[in-house]
Amino acid sequence: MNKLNVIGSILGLALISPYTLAAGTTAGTTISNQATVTYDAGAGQVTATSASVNITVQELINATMQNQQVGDLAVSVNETGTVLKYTLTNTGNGAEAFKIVASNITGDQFDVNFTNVYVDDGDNNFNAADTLLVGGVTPSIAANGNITIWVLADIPATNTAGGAIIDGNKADVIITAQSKTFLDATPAKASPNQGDVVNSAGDAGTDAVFGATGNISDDATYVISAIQVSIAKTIEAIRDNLASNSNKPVPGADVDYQLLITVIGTGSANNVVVTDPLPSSLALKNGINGVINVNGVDLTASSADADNASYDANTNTITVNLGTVAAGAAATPILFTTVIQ
Amino acid sequence: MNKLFSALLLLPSLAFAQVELSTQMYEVVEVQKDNGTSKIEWVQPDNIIPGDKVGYRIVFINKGDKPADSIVLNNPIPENTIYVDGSARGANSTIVFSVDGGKQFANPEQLFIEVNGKKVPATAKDYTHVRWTLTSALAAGEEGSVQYVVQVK
Repeated sequence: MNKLNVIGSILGLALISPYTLAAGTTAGTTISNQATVTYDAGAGQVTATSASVNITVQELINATMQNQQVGDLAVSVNETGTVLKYTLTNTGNGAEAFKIVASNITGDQFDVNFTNVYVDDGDNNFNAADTLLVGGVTPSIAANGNITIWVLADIPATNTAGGAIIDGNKADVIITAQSKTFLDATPAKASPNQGDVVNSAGDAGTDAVFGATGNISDDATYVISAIQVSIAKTIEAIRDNLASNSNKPVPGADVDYQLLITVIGTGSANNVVVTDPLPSSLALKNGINGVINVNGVDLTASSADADNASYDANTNTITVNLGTVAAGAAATPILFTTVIQ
Repeated sequence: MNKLFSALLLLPSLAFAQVELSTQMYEVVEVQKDNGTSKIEWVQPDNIIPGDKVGYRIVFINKGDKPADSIVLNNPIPENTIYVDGSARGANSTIVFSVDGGKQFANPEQLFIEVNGKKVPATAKDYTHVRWTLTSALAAGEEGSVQYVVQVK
C-alpha cells in the first residue's frame, strides 16, 4: 500500500495535490469529533452524545528548493566565489532544519568546486551580513517559512577530460536540501522515500512523515562566458529649425542621437543599464515630457511611469534599463532628440 | 410533591427507548492492487498528516426496550478538516448539511454562503455540520450506522 502516492488521485476535487498544500494543520494538533443523537424515547425528546474520538496530526516533512538564477550562471575560468541563489521553502506542517548538499552532475564539460553555503540575512543580497552554514545545516525553518540560500563555488581551469575550459563550456549541478530529522534518525536517511516515518521525531512528540517525492532539490548550470557589452553613440541628424534650413548646430537646434548596445560572447548580460549624462549645453527635447525610443518603441521620459526609460532633468541624464540581454541578440538601438541650449 | 415522588419511583419500571452512540475513526486509503486497479479501504489510522482522509462511522444502538422514533444524528465537521464531497452515507436516512455552524440544515444545492456580500452556492469545504434523519424507528436491540469522510487541512 502506498497511500501517499495515491491520495492526490482519489481527491479529484481537491484542485491541487495535498502535498503541495502549504503547511496544513500544525503538527501536534488534535482533531476531535463527537456525534450527537436526538430521538423520541416514547416519553419525549432525548439527546445523547458519543465519546470524543481524537486524532493527533503528525509532522509532515516537506520542502521545495528553487534555483532563482534566470538561465545559466555566466562565469569565467578561474573565477572564485561565484554565487547561486536558491530559495528553500518549508511546505511541511512543523519546524524543520535542512542540510544543504551541493553536487556536480556528470555528462557536462567541467565540475565546479563548491566552497561554502550561506543563508541570507533578509536583505536578499549576498554580503558580509549573511551567515555561513556550518556543515551546510540551515537554521530551523518554521512551517510555511522560507530562507534564501547562497551557494558559492570556484571555477577551475581544466575540464572533466583534463583539457582547458573554453568559452561556452557548461557545468551542471544539483543542490539538495536533506531533512535534518531523517539525517539524525537511526539509521540515518539522506534520501528518504515518500511515506517514510521517524517515530517520535516530529514536533510535539509526533511521528515525522516524509512527504516529498524523491529528493528536495533543484539543478543549476554554470556557463563559461566571455561576455562583452559594447555601446556606440552617433549623431543621426541636426535640425536648426531656421528658415535657412542650413541645419547648423546653433542654440535651439535639435540633435538626434543614437546609442547602439551590442552583447557578444555566450550566455546573457544581466541588469544592463544604459546611462547617458548629457553635457549642460544639451537637454532632452521636451524634458521629462520627451520621448526615448528603445528598440523601435517610443517610451515616455518621465521617471514616474513603469517603462524602462527615464530622463532626470536635475542631473540631465538619460537612463534606460535593458534588463537581461542574451549574447548574440540583435543590437539594441536607443534614439532620442536633444536641444542645444 | 407526592405526585412527583411517585413518578420518580415508577421511573425504573417504565419502558423506554435508549439510544447509545459511538464514533469509530478510520484512515481512508486507496490500496493499489496487483492488476493495476485500486480500491478504497477504511483502515486503522496511522500517522495522520495534512492531506490524509479520515472516515468517521457513527454507530447507534437502541439499548432500551421500546422503539426509538424520530432519530436525528448530528456531527460537526471537526476543526482543521474539510468534508469530502459526496462522502456522507446512511441507510434509510435523509442527509442534510449546514454551513452556519448547525443553525440551519438543507440539501447541498440549497446551501449558500456570502462572499464579499454576494450570495454564492456553498461547496463541500464550507460545510460545518452533517445531519442524518432516520426515516424509520429503531426497534429495541437494533443498531445501525452512518458515515462520512473528511480531509485533514
